[in-house]
Amino acid sequence: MTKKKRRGPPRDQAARPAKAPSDTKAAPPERRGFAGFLFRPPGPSIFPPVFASLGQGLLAVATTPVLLLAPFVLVLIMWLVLLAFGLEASPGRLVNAISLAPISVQFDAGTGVALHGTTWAFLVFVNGAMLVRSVIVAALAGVAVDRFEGGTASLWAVVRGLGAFPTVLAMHIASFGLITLGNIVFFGLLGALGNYLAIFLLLALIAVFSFVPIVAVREARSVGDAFRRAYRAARSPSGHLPLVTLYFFLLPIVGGTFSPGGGELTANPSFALWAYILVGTYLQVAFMATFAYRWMVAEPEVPEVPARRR
Amino acid sequence: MSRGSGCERNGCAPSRARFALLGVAGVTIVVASLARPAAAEPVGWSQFQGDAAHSGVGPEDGPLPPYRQAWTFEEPGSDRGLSAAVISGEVAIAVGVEGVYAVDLGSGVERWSVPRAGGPLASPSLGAADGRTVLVYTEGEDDESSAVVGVDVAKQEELWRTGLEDVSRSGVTIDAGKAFLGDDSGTVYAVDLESGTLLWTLERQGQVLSPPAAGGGVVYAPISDAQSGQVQVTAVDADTGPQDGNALWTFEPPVAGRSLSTPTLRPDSLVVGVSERLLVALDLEDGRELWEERLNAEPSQLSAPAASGVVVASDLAGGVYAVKPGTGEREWSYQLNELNVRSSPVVVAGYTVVGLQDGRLVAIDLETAELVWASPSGSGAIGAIAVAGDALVAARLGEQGGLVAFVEDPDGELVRIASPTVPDLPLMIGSFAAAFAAVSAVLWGFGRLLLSRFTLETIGSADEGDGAEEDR
Repeated sequence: MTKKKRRGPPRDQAARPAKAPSDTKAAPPERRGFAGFLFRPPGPSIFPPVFASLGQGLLAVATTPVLLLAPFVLVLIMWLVLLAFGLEASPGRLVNAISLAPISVQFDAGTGVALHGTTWAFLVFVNGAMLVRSVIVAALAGVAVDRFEGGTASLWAVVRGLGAFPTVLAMHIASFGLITLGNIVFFGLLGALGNYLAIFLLLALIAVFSFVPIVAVREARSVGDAFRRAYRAARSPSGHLPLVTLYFFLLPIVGGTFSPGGGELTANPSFALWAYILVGTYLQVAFMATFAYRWMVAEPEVPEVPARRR
Repeated sequence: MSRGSGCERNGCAPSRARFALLGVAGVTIVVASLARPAAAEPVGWSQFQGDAAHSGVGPEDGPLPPYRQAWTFEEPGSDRGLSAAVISGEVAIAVGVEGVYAVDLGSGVERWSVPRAGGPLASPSLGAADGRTVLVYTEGEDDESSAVVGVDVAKQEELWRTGLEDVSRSGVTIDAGKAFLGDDSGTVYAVDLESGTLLWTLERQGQVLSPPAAGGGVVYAPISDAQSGQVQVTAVDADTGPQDGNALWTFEPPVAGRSLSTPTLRPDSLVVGVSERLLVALDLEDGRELWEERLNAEPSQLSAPAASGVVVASDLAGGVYAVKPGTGEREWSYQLNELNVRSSPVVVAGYTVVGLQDGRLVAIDLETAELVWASPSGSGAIGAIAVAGDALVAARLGEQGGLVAFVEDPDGELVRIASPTVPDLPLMIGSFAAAFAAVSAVLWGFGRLLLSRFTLETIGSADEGDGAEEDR
């Protein structure tokens, strides 16, 4: 965040093409092997600082009525629909109802298991949930991108975001597939060690998938191209891991654990619990916006072609 | 004023026939007393969950809620509490660390006790053999001292003692003159109730953590192997035991679980909880699964479903469920939101009663699925419940543990509280609306405050080139 100078002019005058921070160079980053982005980068980051990014995300959502209020209403609707399906669960889990992939898919899978066990009905539920979720995430990504482009988060932004639906759906399907595979491999074959590897997998997927909807909205590329661009951004010298880790422990771990009333099963959350869920939802959307901002700043620096191997 | 005799009231006119009847009755009593060494005590709630099937069903006429606490009994010098109680005549009998105690049902005063050599507090069992009421319990802290013991209830004399291969914590089930139990090595034992003779054993990998169910000449033993995560229910012919080591059938759930609940035998199925949050019903003939119902949490291995007109099951998180016995379809559930590790639901006259880890005993109306009564919370978890005429006798664990009796309270009041998992739309929407307004207002104000000091950066669209940022 920078010091405010004046109220901004209309979008067309204010918005200018993105530029990378001054300390970054346009030279393509070196490849550092699989999952190298999870470790300390050897060079300067192509992304803005973590807390500056987070500040932009918090500010964008808090000052955009659609981004702030629509997710709140969506959470209530989700809860009512799940109750209609017969769910008996702790409402505290709703903190992750609207979240980044693959956490969101974990939420859907956990809900599906609670409703149907591991049956065909579970698969039907999860696939249906991923369809709905993809619409929501695509629309939110469209609004977030539009906000940082100086727009007014209008209906047009939502429609633009929905254009990214195929890519976002593919991301959720990939999340479900990889988590399922990870569970089989990590927990089924590796025992206790699998727990750590499962966390590693989640962090890696968050790091990549946090950019995918934004790439799809901003660049309107094919599904494969959007994934490749997001992957290259995530594995560039970035310092991406601290923000991903902060997100992972702040919301899925801490947020999902310390809700008022603990893990009590109820259909009727108290005022305090609703407030907790709504604040958590705000933070989830703020993190989405944060990653949108980071992508948009770093976008010109993300290589179009795979970086040369060191 | 003395009460008049029958002769005074009715005019005394004894007939020869009456004398003859009296004579026959007298001779019969004398012969019977000579033939039987001691008169058997009337047996009520004879074992865990009432009978060998673990039905958990009390009398139709009560005791009805609301209840009040009538008395408590603590084992002298112990801080572990007592096992599940069984009822014999006017006493409740439970196993403690140092002894087995018989407590007067009316007053809670100790009537008698027999010493015990420690070991897990497993449920004892009562059965009739050779005209005696025999109490069977297990004792022993290790494989050398572990034993199953038979005691004559009337005389409080040890009748027999049979050594076991390992510590037993399963509790004892008695059916058709045989006592069945298991140990920590996965061995199931059948012992003759009259003599204590070991009739047969079945050896499996794992532990037997809860009492087998028995009926129709078959014993159903739950066996859990914590190391491999494999659990199984094994059916064995009660008379012959395993043939060449083979059981009649074995059920292993398709999803590996860590433990099983205590099984409950119904006329047409065996109902058992699996730790993968499942309640399953098994065919008695071949052990195939008839139905399964998903629970919100895993069932406790120390808990058994009750089986009356509906199957009533509980889980570790305080969920109570009523399901149709034929299909497993859930009729209702009630979420108590308190741990329930040791208590099984008991059905009494249209209500199900269950104990909780916080020391509460609660009653739920089977018809309306509403909580109608709850005791104040107390120190020590409530365990298994025995129904004894006009009282409920519950085991209580912990430092002040022992037995606690509840009787009908004519001055008490019933409540009607729906499960918190039943949506209350006005309440839910109202809470949401209030939180929505408050959180939105605070965050909007937070945003305005931030915007007064910082600016939201604006970045050009991807089509516009590759550089520049603008402060607003």
